[in-house]
Amino acid sequence: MIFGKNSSTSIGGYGNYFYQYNSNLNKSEINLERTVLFFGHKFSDRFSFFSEIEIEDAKVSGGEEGGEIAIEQAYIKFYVSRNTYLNAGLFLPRIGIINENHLPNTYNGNERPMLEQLVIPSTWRELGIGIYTQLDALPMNLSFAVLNGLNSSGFEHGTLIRGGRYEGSKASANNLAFTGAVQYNINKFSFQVSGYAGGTVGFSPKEADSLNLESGPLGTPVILGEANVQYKNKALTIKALATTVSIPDAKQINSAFANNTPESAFGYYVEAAYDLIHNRKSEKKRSLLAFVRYEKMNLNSTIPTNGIEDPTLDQSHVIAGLTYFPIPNIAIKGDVRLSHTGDQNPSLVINPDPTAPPFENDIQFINIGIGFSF
Amino acid sequence: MLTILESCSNIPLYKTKSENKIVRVPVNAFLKSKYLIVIPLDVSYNITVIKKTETDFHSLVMKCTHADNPVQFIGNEFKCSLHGSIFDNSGKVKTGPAEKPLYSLVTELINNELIINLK
Ligand code: FES
Repeated sequence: MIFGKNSSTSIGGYGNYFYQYNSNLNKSEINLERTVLFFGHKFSDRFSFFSEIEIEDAKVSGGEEGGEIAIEQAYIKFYVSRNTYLNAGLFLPRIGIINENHLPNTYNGNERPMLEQLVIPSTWRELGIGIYTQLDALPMNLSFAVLNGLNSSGFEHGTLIRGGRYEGSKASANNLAFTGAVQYNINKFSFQVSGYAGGTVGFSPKEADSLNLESGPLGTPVILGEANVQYKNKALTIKALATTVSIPDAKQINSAFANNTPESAFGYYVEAAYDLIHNRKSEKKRSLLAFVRYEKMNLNSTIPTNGIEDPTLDQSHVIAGLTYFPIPNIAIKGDVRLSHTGDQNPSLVINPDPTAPPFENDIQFINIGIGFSF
Repeated sequence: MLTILESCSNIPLYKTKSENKIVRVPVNAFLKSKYLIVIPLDVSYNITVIKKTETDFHSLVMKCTHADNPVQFIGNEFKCSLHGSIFDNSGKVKTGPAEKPLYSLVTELINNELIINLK
C-alpha cells in the first residue's frame, strides 16, 4: 500500500570487503571490514523505529585484538508535523557528509575520507534527542540536537577526540553536547554548515575539582565547526569539506590524563568524480566513476604548553581510483592512497619495536574492495 | 477543498486535500516550472508532478522505497537522508540501498485539471 496507516517492518543492510597493501610495512591484509543489518519498524505515519547493528572485522573473540559488535543507531522517529520530526535515542547527528550517509556505495574509495574518520570521528553516534525540519518557503533543512557529551579521559594521541565517544554505552549524562546543522539546496548545489559544542568531563564537581577540570554540561569543552558544499551536474560530482576543532582546556586535560591532547586541529578535502559511462544508452543502471580526492589535515595544529608536538599528525592524502557500480547497490572499488606526513618527533618514540620498518614520510596504499547495501 | 498556491525559491508547492482518493490540481500551477510538489494534507507523503509535455504528466510519490522515509527533491533528483538512496527525476534508483523505483501514480489531464489517482 503506497498511502495508508498500516504498520510495516523493514530489513536492510550493508557491508564491505577490503584488501589493502601498505608500502611501508610491505604487507597486505584482507578483511571483511563491516557487516551491518538494519531493522526498522513503522508503527504509524507518525512513529517509526530505526536501528543498525554492526559487526566489524567479521568476528569478535574474547581477549583478541580487533572486532566489534555495536549498535550503530537505535532511535524512535516521531513526526511532529509534516515537515518536522524528532529523533530520540542513539543516532548520528548531522555533522559532515559521511556521518549520516556512510554506506559504502555512497562514497568513493575503499576507505571513508580520512578527515571524516580522524577530525570528525564518524560514525559518531550518541544518545539524545534531535529535531529536524524542512522549510516550505526555502529549500532549506535545519537540525538541532542535544546529546550526551564526550569523555576527555578517552582521548588518545593521534586520534583527536575519537576515543572520547561513548557511542550509547553508559555515557555520562552530567556533560552534554549541542549540535546543529543548516542545509541549503539550490539547483545543482547543496551547502551545509554544522557545529558541535560539548562538555568532556562527566565527573562529579568534587572529582573534577581534584583533577583541576571544569565539570558541568559544557565544562572543558570541545567545539567543532564544519562546512561543506556538493555540486552535481550529470556525470560530474564535486565535494569540498572543511572542519576545525578547538579544545581550549587541552592543557588541563593533559595534566589530568597525560594523553597529549592538542588545543586545535583542522582539515579539509576536495573530491571530483566523473561517471565515464553516463552517456551510453545501454548503461542505464551501471556507472563507472573515476575520482580523485585531496585531503589535508593537522590533528595538532596548536598544542598547549604541556603538549608534545607530533609532526606526523600533519598529513596530506591523495586518493585516486575507480568505483564501478554494476547495479546501484554494489560498488567494486580500486584506489591508491598516497599519504605524506611530517617527521617523527623522537621524544614520542618510546620503546621502538626493533622489527618495525624505518619511518617514512611517504607511504602508498593500494586498496581493492567490494561494498554493498540493500 | 483547500487550495493554496505557494512559491518557494526552488519548486512551487501546491497544498490541497484528496477526495475519494483523487487529488485535483489546476494545470496553471505549472506556469512557473515543469515541476510541482503537491502536498495532499490528508495523506502522509507529498507527490512530485513532472510536466513532460503539454499533455503528459508524471506523478511520483515522495516515499523512499527502501524503508518508507520521505524523500526530498534536490537539484533534479530525489534524495533520502535516512540511508542515502538517490532516485533520478523519473524515479529510477541511482544510488542504493533502495532497489525499486519511486512509486508512480496514474495522472490524467481532464479539462485543464490534473487528476492524480492515489490508489
Ligand atoms: S529509507 Fe531511504 S535509503 Fe533507507
